[in-house]
Amino acid sequence: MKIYFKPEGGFGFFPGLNKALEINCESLPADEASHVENLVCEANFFDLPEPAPVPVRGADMKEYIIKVEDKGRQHMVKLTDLETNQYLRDLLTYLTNKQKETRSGS
Amino acid sequence: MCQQNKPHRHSIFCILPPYILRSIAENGSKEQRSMALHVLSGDTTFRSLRAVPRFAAELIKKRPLAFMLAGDKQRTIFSANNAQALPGVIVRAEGSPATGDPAIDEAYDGLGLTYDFFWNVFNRNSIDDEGMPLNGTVHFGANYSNAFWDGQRMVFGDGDGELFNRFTISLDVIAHELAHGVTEDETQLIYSSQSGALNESVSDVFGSLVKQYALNQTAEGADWLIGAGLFTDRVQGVGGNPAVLRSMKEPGTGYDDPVLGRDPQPGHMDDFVNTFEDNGGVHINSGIPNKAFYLAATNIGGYAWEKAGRVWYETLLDSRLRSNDKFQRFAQLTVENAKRYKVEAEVCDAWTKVGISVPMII
Repeated sequence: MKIYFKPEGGFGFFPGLNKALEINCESLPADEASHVENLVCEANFFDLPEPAPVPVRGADMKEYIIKVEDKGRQHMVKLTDLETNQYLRDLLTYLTNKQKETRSGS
Repeated sequence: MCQQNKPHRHSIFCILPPYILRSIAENGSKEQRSMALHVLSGDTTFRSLRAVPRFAAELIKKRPLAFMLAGDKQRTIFSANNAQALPGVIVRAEGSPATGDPAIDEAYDGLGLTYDFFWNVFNRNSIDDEGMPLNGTVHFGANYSNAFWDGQRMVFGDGDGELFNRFTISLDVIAHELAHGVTEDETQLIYSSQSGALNESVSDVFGSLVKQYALNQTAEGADWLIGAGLFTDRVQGVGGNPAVLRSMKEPGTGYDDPVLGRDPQPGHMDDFVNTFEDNGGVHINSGIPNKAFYLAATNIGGYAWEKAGRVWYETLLDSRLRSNDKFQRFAQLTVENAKRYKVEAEVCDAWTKVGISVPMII
């Protein structure tokens, strides 16, 4: 399973904080890979609706693009910080923390 | 409604229709005003209850007008208690004392100062000019590093403590978010590409003006910074200055940091950034109209809200401004509106200096 993650939007644009993250589960420790795959599965990721158009109301909200490739399937969703699907939020939290780790290590 | 357990008041207040009570509340003596407001508040409660089934959606947006006079604000601060659900629980309502929680009190005070600015300077009664209640949610999310306008309320995170402090720390950030509501109410500038950058710039303009108004600063004396104090000491600024989010005076000099990167804002059309990121660069290319406003304000001199701010405000309200307009069209309208204040040459010069030529006579 491969995951592409890209945060966008927010109060300002910070080049260093908006870098895309790519994860290949094959290169993760087994328990972490299993955890990620479970999050994707529990969120019913491949059954989630396509990204909605940009909302007319609101400003400065963060958006997150998550794209997952697995076993020949590929799907992309767009989330905001008001996402109510708890599994999806757990996946978002994992990816956000992972991106932060990558940032710190760079 | 007359009730036995309420303090005595003249019986005339019990039978007068609301429009007369409102007139007394506006024009009567101090005692008459107080009594009329007291009656109106109780009366409106019951009128509102009767109206709820029909007008529930409107009541969420509009406050009952009989409750208060234009120029009175109605703030409610909620706390999300570090969850990501809105609106959260009420932690401070209008007129209640300070809580000692900086985020709550800064949001309350900041929304109040912003309301006062729009009312005193432009005679605008809140976000929708109809007295819309000001709702803010603080402590949104855990270590959440953002502030946003969701179409109904202003939402503020506590920051992660590593890069960002709490987002209520800067008055201009609070005012920026409220100004998004004003823009949305007036023109709905589409939040993408140049119209989105104008949307962002208008919020920075009024964010900065609210701060200048609160500090009684002239255009020459103001720092023209957005988000001073928002970054922690760990974030590196430019030229030995503390890091800030944006500079309207010198776009692109807010920060230059190993983690955040370099402030990408241009201050001239020659450096316009074509990008798909950031909704087409709404927080990036806003540096160009930001600088134009700074130049216009300093060209004119004095308090920036008196002429330059008024020109920008009237442009925002100008029926000729369309939701997908670009910098050129916005610039033309500012020059046209500037004629009313005899500052069209100063405004025209400001746009020219950022690479946007506007004919003086349209």
